Amino acid sequence: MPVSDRCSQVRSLLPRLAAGEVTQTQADACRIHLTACPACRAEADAAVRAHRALSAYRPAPPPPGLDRRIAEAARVVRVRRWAPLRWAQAGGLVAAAAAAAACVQFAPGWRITTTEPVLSPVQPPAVQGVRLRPALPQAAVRPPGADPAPGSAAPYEPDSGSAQSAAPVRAAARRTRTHRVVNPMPASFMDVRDASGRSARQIMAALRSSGPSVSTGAGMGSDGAGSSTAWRPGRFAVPGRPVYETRSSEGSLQVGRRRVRTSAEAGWDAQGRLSVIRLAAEAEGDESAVVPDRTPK
Amino acid sequence: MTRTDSADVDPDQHLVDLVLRGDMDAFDRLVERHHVFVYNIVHGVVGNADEAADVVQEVFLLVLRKLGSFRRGSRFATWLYRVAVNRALDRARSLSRRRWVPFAAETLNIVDPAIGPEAAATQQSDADRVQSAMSAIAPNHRDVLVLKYFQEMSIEEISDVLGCSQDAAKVRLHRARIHFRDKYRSMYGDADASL
Repeated sequence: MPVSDRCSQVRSLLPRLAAGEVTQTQADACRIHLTACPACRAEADAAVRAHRALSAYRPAPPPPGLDRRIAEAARVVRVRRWAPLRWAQAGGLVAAAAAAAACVQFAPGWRITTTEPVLSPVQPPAVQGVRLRPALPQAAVRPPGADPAPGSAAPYEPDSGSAQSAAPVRAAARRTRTHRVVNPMPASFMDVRDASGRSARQIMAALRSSGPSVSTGAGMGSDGAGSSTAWRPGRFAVPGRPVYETRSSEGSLQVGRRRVRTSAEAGWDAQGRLSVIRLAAEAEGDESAVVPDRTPK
Repeated sequence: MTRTDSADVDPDQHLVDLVLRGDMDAFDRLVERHHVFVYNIVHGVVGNADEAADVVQEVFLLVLRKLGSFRRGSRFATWLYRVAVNRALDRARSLSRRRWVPFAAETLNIVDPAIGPEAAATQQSDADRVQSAMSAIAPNHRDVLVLKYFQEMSIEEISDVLGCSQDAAKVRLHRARIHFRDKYRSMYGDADASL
């Protein structure tokens, strides 16, 4: 149906007419036209329905405790200013550590060591229809004689329940390693090294110089590889170990043809010392390996 | 909302001064005062409750870091909301590029106890439709609709938050309304409505 000039004029007013933002003269003129023009009437009805729907919408309330979470995060930012290692640096280093965790999983030959590796070699449970690989390299070992105390953390354990439910629908390989750290923050972060003795920062630099683009949104972005994704409160707890506060962050990097999402979670004790760090790497689209991700709740 | 029509006194200025002197309790009060409003803006643009909560935290931390550069002549709330809109737009664009935009179903349980379950179900359905249509339009149209309809801001306030002239805000709102109407209509068809 051809649209006349009059129709065009009226239709241009319809959104404001529906919102009651036109003058009385304009409204009267529109109504006269609408009684005689079914096409414009249909347009007007649509505008009214859209306006009513928008006007009736009530925003959802924020999740409970959001203000408290923000306030706590703000205090961490402030507290880190006097910490031995600046918060921004810490964020960058954890980002690097997350990237290094991914390198461990997807670039054979690299290994992360910490001052206190506590993980046991684990084998993922068999899941029907999904071919599984061994979960962790042999580097992840429990210290000699360090039997888990009752109630102590089991930061990474195969969980057949979660694997059963997650594996059939996931087309990704996720591997998680958790390291407890006994040193204060600078030492513990700086102890993240590969088998050649390179630090996490050096690993990141090597990745960049060797071609694959590396980006991460982790931390406060002092590593130059990405920036500004704020830390958010982590959701893990470590029974038997004082974790005063936790923060997590996520990033991603390209390893060969694979896009690897990384995440890092760190916990500090009440004195502001790093207490635990949990690293995870997930390769999108890789169905050849599935390792359950079990984060202690 | 904490916006005020009076341009003379910024009710947040005293708290801002305290925060600049290192009083984190004052920052807590700013968060408490504004976080719901900021969340509503961000959630309306981003459309995902979890993402929105993260963005809100980013916004407040960014504001805390940049508070020293806040200009005294302007309102803290306006500045905060502008930061929120910009961060929300960034996140919404990022999400749409990655196609990881599960539009929130979890936000639809908005049930007013004063109304009956039938009306509540209808209200949920309407909210679902609005959010679905909002997610289908461009982020830079969502923001102005959020400010106008969800936050009930005036054109003057919208122009302040968006950092544009009032005429530009009107044009943007007009286009956003048309796009929303078209999407809403294409998704849910015509039904009875009358002027």
